[in-house]
Amino acid sequence: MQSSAKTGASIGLKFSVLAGLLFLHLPVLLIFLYAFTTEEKSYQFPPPGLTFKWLAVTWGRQDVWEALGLSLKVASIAAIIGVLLGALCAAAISRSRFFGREVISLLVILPIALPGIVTGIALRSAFSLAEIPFSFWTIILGHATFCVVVVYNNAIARFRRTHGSLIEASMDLGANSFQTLRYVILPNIATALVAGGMLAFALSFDEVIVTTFTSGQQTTLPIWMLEELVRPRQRPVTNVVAMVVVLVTFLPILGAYYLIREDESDRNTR
Amino acid sequence: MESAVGFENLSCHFGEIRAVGNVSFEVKKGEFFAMLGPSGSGKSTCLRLIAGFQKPTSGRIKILGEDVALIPPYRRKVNIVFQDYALFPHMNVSENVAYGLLIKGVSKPDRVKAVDQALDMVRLSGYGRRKPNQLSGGQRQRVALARALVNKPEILLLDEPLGALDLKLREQMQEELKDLHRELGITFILVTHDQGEAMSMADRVAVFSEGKIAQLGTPENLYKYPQSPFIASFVGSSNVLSPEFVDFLTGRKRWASLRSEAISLVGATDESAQVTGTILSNIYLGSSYRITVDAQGQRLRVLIPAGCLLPVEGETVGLSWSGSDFHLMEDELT
Repeated sequence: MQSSAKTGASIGLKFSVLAGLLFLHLPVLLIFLYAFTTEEKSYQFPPPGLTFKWLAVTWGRQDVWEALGLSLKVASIAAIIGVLLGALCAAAISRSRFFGREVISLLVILPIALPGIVTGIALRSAFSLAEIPFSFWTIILGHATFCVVVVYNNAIARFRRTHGSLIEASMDLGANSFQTLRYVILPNIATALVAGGMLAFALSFDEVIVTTFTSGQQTTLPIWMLEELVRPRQRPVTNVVAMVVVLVTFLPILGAYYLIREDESDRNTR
Repeated sequence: MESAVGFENLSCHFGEIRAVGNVSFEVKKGEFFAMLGPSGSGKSTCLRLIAGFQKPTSGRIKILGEDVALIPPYRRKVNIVFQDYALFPHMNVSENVAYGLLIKGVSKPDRVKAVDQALDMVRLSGYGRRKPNQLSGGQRQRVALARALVNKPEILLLDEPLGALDLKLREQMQEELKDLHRELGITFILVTHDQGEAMSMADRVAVFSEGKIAQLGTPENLYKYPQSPFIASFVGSSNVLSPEFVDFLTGRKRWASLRSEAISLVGATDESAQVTGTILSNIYLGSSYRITVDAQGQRLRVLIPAGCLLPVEGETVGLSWSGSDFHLMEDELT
């Protein structure tokens, strides 16, 4: 008994792990399944029949295309803002010592710790006070608050591992600040920035709460889905869209994961 | 002799802490100069001041006769080999070595030629395509050397260059550095905490202590005529004689030094014996024995060649040395 417990008498353990994983992921598979059901009105199980027609129907729905386009635009611009500001902020925090450094570092990370609803309400009242009309750009501003954090966290970890002497070495070999940035700093933090940007993109792409508070008439894809669930027209179309959302967010996150991991192992063998 | 680097009344403070305090010295052109001292003694700060990474609080630095206060690191005619080598991890060996030339705008064919030559010089031909993480510590060290030397600097700065290498490699690199210096004829400035390294390679050594130069001289000079107990104990195998013991021997209350190999053992009643003592221990070192003797409360280490008649522990012996080896230190007692 003793030895089998050590080597893996974990049939029970294996089972509960499997059960846990299924519990997490079966519902997602069900969403996929119902994207192909022939039954339009309800989630009947098992589905009475399977069909590809919803893909075509979704393809033809103008509102889906608009929402998808808006979400892609918002996520891209928010991620770019996140990369720019996050990288600059990480560079400042990691390379210099100044009064209030810790406070700034904390304030930058805060938006991701704050519940989205608090961020949303705060932004909404701030926009109203400043009489900024809600638009495409207010959504982007809302999303940028957490995009900056994601990139910042990635970049600062990389800066910490990049020796200050690399910059000095570059200067010593005749490079001025811009050349050092271009040939030494950027290549060293590039993967961290790309990974951070991908995560930020994925987070922004499926964001609901902050968007609800900062959008005007615009409907991003997640908001569109929420509305569809409340007032369904063609249920399976929502499921098709859900599949697209999973793919659009899953691939960048997977990419970011591999980028960071490969880089990590590369560095560890140094 | 022309001056390569000159420090004039130079001080450097980090906030309240004084890293370097009013230091003046000159390194001659073509010299192999070492800055030796324990960590925190200011030697590395001096090197960084020459490279331009650190700004002096007061005083002047001259490189090749020119005041460099306003010259940024990337326009100084010095190159540095960093303690951690600081190779660019995203570039291969060739790209690392070519970096300085690339920045200068040297054409590609000339770059390739110069890089090949530099790698050849440090015996790393054929390693050009490797990444720094595929090299051993010694190889990385050579790449760092090649990367600095390819720029043909007038002055090469070496910051604890051998610190990360194992003993055997360190000895080999010491010789190679010495050969390189002879071959290139440029000024080498070495920072180290290892006295053996400084003494074996450098033409002159500045010993740093608490931000000041405690003594500056040739290795032989430092070894034979240390000016303070600190130098004597830091530089190596001299016996530092306490003022009380010196008083007993000479009637003058001063610190003194006496090299271990300058002492010979004679019979306790021999007329050449200056003092008698008791053998505490003898340790076999291969080519010699190191014997510790207690004389009037002063411990003395004596080196005698292997093969001589060995005294046994507890035996009373006479100690003898020639007057010229007995060195009174200049430091006044405080």
